[in-house]
Amino acid sequence: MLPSRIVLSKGYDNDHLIIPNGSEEYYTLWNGAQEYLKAALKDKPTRTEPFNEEKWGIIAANNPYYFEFKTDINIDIVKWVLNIKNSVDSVMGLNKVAIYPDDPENGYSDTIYIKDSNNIYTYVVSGYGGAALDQKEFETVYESHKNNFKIKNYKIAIETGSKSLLPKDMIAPFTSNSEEEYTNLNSISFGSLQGPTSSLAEYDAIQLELLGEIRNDYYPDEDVYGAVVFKKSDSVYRLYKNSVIEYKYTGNQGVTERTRILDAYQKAVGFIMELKARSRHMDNINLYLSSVKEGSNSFIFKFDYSIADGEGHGDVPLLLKDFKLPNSEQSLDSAITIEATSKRVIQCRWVALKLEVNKIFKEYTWNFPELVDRAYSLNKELSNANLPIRDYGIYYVLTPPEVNSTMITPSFVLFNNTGSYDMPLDGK
Amino acid sequence: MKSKLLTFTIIVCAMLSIFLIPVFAADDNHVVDISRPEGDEVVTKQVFSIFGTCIYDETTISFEYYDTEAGDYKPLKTTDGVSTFKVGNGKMFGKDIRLKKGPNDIKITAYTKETKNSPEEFYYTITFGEAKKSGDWFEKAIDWITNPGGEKDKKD
Repeated sequence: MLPSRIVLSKGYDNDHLIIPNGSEEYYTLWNGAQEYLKAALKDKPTRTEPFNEEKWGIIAANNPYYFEFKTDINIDIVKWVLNIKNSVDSVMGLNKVAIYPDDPENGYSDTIYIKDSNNIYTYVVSGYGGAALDQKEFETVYESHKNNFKIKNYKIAIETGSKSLLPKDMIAPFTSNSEEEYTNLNSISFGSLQGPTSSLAEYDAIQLELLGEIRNDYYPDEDVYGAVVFKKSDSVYRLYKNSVIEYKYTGNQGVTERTRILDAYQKAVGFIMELKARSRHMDNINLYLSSVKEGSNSFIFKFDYSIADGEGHGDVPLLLKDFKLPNSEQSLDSAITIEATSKRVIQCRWVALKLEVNKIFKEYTWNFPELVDRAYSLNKELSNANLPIRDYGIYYVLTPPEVNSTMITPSFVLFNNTGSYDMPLDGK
Repeated sequence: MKSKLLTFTIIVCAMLSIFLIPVFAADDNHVVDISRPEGDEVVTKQVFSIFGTCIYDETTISFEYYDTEAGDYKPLKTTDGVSTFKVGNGKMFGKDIRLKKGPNDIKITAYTKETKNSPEEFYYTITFGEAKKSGDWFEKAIDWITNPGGEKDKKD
């Protein structure tokens, strides 16, 4: 559970800085935010009101600290991550948080705003005695980033006017250019499968990469799609040629008790941690929870990759497109899709790539309206759909033909309700 | 009675010609929604951002300011150095302008190829004044003590 974006703001119509994900300051601020959240969630909110986009946009622009998650994080998961033992369960979860420590407009108390999919909760906390995100901390981080980073003329969409059609808390360079640096991405497919695999040495090499050891209880095989299969009595791994790996639990499910989301999440995270620990290639990859869906008696969690660009530049998210299983028309829209019950992981599909950045930084100058203009000009489908923009981002975009590519450059990606549209950024 | 009815009808027709026809005419050349400024505004930053969403592709937008000495509107350059620019298929634009101290009378003109002869015009007065509040939390605290009734969610 990590925020996908942390923003420092000087207030409405003033400067807003995005703190690079994965940087030292990112973790300092997120650790600080956890202290305030812990203090807030012990009590009932001071005020609960239905979500209003304009009001939330103003909160995002006005408050010094703003934290965004990619999806609603269930309150049980939040409590587990924050190690909260006693809480008043007024909030179902959270997807965005704004914090104003020592808020002078609330009598010097710390004000915490929490948004879930339905409501805005305001907590005025007087019980937290710490100073994790006080003004001194704010100024230190703000000044260091303002001076050290390239110009980022970001605004929050509410500042473009209440009649603007954009999501009101979207943050982007809406007027002047932003100058940003990105490196190129190299990708190598897992197992380097190119043709039929038949030698035992090759099976062993894949097994070593997949399981971290060569195990006698997993019987190697190939299926009708040419996927390498490792099977044992209660589970099977399949490595497809497009570098997608599928794990299935095939054993007896046993007595089916109602699955609790936290149990399922813990099983899913445990499984992924094992994967990460075994793989030599996931050290520089951060994972963000991007979706949670309830199954019949299970939960399906999706995680997206971000790769650390290095040298304080933060991480850049990956957009994976058109990765499919041979027997399915549906694309895997996330790097890891994992289904778990209270007892175990029952299925996991992940796009297993060896990703590296070359750390040669190139400068990219862009602004939001110009790139939207170009995207609409280049893409008739986007232009004809005439749907409001839901989100955007700078991503490394990968499709199956590029799993063994070098020099993947960053792209500007627009999201609306029908999907995503990407185009490469122009670098200098 | 008939003559009174006739007089009433004539008056109504005259009123319609005065009020409704210009409204329809205005609608004909409506090519852009300006989302910022939201009416006349008082601001404390010298750089002000103008935003809008065009209704059609390929809309030309011009910024002008009222030159009191010349008694006329003159081209107003954005911080990019242009006063007229085209907005394409993406339909949205955002541009920064630099304000002078005090009131700035600004005119925004917008037209497409079809409405070039009757462009849509918007007039705003943006007043650039001293900062009411500093971003410093201590000063905000003092401000809160001296003026405790301020609303939290205002756009200050």
